[in-house]
Amino acid sequence: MVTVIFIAIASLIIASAVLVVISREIVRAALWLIATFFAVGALYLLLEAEFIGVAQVLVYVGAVSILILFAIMLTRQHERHEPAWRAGPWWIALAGVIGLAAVLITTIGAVPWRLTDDDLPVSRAPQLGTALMREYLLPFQLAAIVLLVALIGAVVIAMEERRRRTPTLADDIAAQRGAADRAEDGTP
Amino acid sequence: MITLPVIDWTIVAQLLVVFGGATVLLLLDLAIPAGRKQVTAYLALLVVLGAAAVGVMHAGVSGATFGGTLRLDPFRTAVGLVCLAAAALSILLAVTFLGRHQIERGEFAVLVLFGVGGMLLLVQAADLVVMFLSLALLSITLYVLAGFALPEPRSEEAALKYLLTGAFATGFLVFGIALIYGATGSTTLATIAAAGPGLTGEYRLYAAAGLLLLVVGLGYKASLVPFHMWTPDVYDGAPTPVAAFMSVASKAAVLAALTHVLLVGFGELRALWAPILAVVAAATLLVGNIGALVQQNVKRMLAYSSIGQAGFLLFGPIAASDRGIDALVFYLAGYTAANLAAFAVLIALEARGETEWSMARLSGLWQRSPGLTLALALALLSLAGVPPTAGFIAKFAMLDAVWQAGYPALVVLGVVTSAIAAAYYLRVLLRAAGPAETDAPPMFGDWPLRLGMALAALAIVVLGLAPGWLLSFS
Amino acid sequence: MLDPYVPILVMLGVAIFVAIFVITVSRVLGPQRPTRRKLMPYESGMEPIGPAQRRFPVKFNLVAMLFILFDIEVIFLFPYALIYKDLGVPGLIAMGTFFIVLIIGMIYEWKRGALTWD
Repeated sequence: MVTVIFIAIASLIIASAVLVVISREIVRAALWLIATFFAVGALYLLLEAEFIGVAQVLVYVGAVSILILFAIMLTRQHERHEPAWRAGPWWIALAGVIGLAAVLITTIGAVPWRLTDDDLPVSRAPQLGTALMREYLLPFQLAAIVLLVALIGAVVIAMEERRRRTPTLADDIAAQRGAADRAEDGTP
Repeated sequence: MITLPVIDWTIVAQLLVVFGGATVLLLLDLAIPAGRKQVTAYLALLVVLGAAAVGVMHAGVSGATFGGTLRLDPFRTAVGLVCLAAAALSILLAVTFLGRHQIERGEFAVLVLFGVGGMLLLVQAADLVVMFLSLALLSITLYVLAGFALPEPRSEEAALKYLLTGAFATGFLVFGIALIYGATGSTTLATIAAAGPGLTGEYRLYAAAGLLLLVVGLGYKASLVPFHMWTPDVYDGAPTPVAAFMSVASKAAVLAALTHVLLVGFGELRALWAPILAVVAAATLLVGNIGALVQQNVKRMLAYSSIGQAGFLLFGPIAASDRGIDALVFYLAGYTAANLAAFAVLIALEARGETEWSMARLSGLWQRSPGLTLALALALLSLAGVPPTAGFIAKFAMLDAVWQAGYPALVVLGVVTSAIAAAYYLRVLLRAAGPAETDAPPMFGDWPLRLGMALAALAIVVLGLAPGWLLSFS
Repeated sequence: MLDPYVPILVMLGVAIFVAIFVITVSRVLGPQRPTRRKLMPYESGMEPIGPAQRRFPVKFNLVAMLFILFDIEVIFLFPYALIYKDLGVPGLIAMGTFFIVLIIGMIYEWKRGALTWD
């Protein structure tokens, strides 16, 4: 039963991940990425790491995907259909990916995995909290600083972006209204 | 009752000074009016000097805290001091540059502080998770700093390229850490090393695959061939003081981390990684120096030259001896001083809106400013490894270390590529000594810039003439 | 061990079924007489202006960044909340420093004027 569920989730992950790569429309690629995040969350549930599963959904599906979609909406859409660069030959990328996959699959397949029924230190929220306060106290505090710096970076770049503001929808409406008003007045 | 790990405050004092100073400065900067952001930079300089003072007091201190994930020993203290010196000099070089280029914002100094904090952490880390997070910290600050001249399209391009390649490298790093954790059950270097001898065939393979992925991830940041492609574009597009800062400080920190991973965590697998690393070092030396030979843009030439220098820096971990470690620290110090001095000369000649740094702009420099030419000559001769500069002693110590370790081919290659390097460095110097070819570019000689340049040049000479006190630190 | 998830699975099945059912039924039973006005993209009842996919102002991104920041903070808060009694004062200090660093980030973004809408 578990194997069946695993195969279902795994094929969902692989299929949506492939679709991320081959989607031509970037918004669709982003949506498939969200689907991948979701399926990975399901995989965590299957591993009985409920808290990690919930965190995956909250952070990745809930927040990171929003940021990705915002990032797409912030970019210049009209340049979308005419890429200024050309990707290299696809078969080189394919060969590289297959090579990496072959190495990883043979290595991972060769290892006699230590299977355990015990709870891992991070599988449940209380254990996770204990681990964060003991073994991973320094990474835990560091995470706050990394987040702070990411925020500063976003503000630095976005404030500069705001200064040279591009016209928005509201500006367009105002411009159209202005044009219509001028047309009614009879002035060019 | 869950007890938290005991924290050794002497060990974390330096990090507390840097991160505490950076956070306080972030808030303080909000109160500093827009035209006076130089105050923020000078305050940041004070913080760096404070941290350096703590580092000097750490001389001879060894120990670990946070459950062995953070360590301090003479090597770590020395590399940390190199990073702090690079940060201090970069702030000096940037203070007036930013105003001149109308990109003066208080966050610059704050980000440099956070970046150098990340570097100190990366150097002191004895755990792969801490390494990963500190690498993320210093990468994020450098992405933003590379794009600091934002309305400038080249700066924007540099930031984006750096971000994309950096994110790609981070993927390798995480994958490598995951594989190592799967094989050894730990992310702490000492535990990984202890688990090493007990690993059976398959687990060994597994740990080795993890190690290689980890080296790829770190190699990107240290711009080792074949992961160097981003370097010329990013150095060229980033604001010049930022290019100076990341060419020296982040390289020093990443090389120290790489050395720890290889020698402490995987010393047992040396037979596997040493030949691979030797090939990487050879490729890095060749590609970097031959690439630099054909550049017409001085900033790109310095970028390729820094790739070549990274090849030399790899000799330290390859030699895997005390001699190699000593040579690595000395090389890092000499390279930092020389590269910063070279970039300082470029900063002194760069007006706003100058985007293309063609070599012709250096022509006739001798007639216009003998001082600048002297600084440039010292820097480039040291980078080339000409006595009596720091670069000569550094290269000699490195070659000696790999010779002792039994890599005569690398010694030959090191000498040959140094000769190639001397060719392109001398080409620049000859242009500077020759007649002017273009309209004379404006020159800037405000005191922070002069001070930074003078300190870097002084370090080149002092390290070259009296290398003993740094070479025998451990 | 996966028993608690059976209701979720059932709910998932029902949701998928209802979605497919409703769409098919309306497709089969509903009269289809398209007019130009009906085929227009729905934009809250007004005349559509410009293309649907266009550049958004960057201020949305700053709010999204703040959202991510506190989203992650909440995730870290959950495991702490479950064991805070066992941790005592040292745990409170550790959590407090984590919190303060992020609060400083918010103060910075606020005071820097990144959250003002115009």
